[in-house]
Amino acid sequence: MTAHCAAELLSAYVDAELAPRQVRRVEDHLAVCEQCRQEVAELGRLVDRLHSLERLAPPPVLAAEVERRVVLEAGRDRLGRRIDRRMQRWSLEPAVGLGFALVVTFTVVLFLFAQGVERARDRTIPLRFVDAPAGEVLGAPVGEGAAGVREVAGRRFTRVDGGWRQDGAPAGADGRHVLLGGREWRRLVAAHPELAEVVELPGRVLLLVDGEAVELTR
Amino acid sequence: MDASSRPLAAEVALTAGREAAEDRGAAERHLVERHRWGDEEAFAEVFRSHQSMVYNVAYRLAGDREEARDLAQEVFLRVFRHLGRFRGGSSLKTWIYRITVNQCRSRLSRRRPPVVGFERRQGGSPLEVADTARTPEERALGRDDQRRLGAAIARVPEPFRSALVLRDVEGLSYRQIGEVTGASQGTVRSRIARGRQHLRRLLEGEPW
Repeated sequence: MTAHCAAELLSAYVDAELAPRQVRRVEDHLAVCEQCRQEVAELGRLVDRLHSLERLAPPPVLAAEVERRVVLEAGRDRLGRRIDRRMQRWSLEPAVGLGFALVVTFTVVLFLFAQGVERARDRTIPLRFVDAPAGEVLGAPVGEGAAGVREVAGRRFTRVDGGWRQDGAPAGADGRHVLLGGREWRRLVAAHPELAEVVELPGRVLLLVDGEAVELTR
Repeated sequence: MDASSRPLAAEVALTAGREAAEDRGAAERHLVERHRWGDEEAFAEVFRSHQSMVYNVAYRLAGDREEARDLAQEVFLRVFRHLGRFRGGSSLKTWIYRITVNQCRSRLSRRRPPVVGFERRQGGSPLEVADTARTPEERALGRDDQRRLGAAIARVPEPFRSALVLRDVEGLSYRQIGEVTGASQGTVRSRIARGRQHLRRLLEGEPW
């Protein structure tokens, strides 16, 4: 080797990072080249100097700072994992969500259907007439006295078998019925608010409304 | 060189080294597994074992203690985040070196080059490198020399600075530096040589 060694080669030689064949070539050259020997010596001194740089002890506060940040990170991580898990649950199990939606829909539909049936039933129970011979519908009075007579809405009712009959009303209601709690009853109470109290009387009630005999049925 | 032509002592040393590496690998896998299962002590062990290395590399690359402290925090935060995904393709130490160097490069590339503590002395001679009169004991640098040498290292441009620090301060082999930086051994050799050239010129006070 006549030319000087490349700096890269000498640097690697100082580090003992050359292959044996390259080492032999460099050493052959160094044996005859003062300049490269000097270069190697200077590199060696630089490396020694760098090796002798003191190692600093990490500041004691570093551990506390890292711990604080890691705890924060771990907290965020846990929250993130919880959110992920929830999202996964919804995304991976759509059947659960779909089932829940179906149950809610079914319940709402059922409720609306029941309401509709109730309204329809109200509509299908108008005031209607039945064949009921006078004197046989409510029977005869079961007794006289306080227990058998009540004053409601300014009307005097007498206890009869199966209900109450307003005094003066015929024994039979001429077949006219109103279902208590039904649509016709609400219409009747709207026209005669005082009749709301009549509902307190148990059983069937026979009374006069606008001079007409009406039987209230529960 | 094949196994049959290898001397017995070298063969024994190679086998012992391989076994030690396997033991270390198994211990590191166990450590990572513990971290995955939420064992906080696992990360604490990693921190205790590597904090000096991380802090010193950061300090040598940044040339500033405060910066090194911040960098070390960032490095360990990354280690904490990714330790569970460490697959053992390299040693844990190499992996942490890699995170440290990358973090330092990324952060330091956004700042202006440091100018602290390395102004050429007014009218004075360049910093001395050669000092053949000193014995090895005497060669141990004084604090002032250490500070100036540290400041000069911090002025060596990347990627030569990290190669220089990993080799001459941390004592890694060319192969290990290649694993840390992702560069070939030829590139590592070139970077170290150029890093040393830069450093010598800085220490000699030559214009750069």
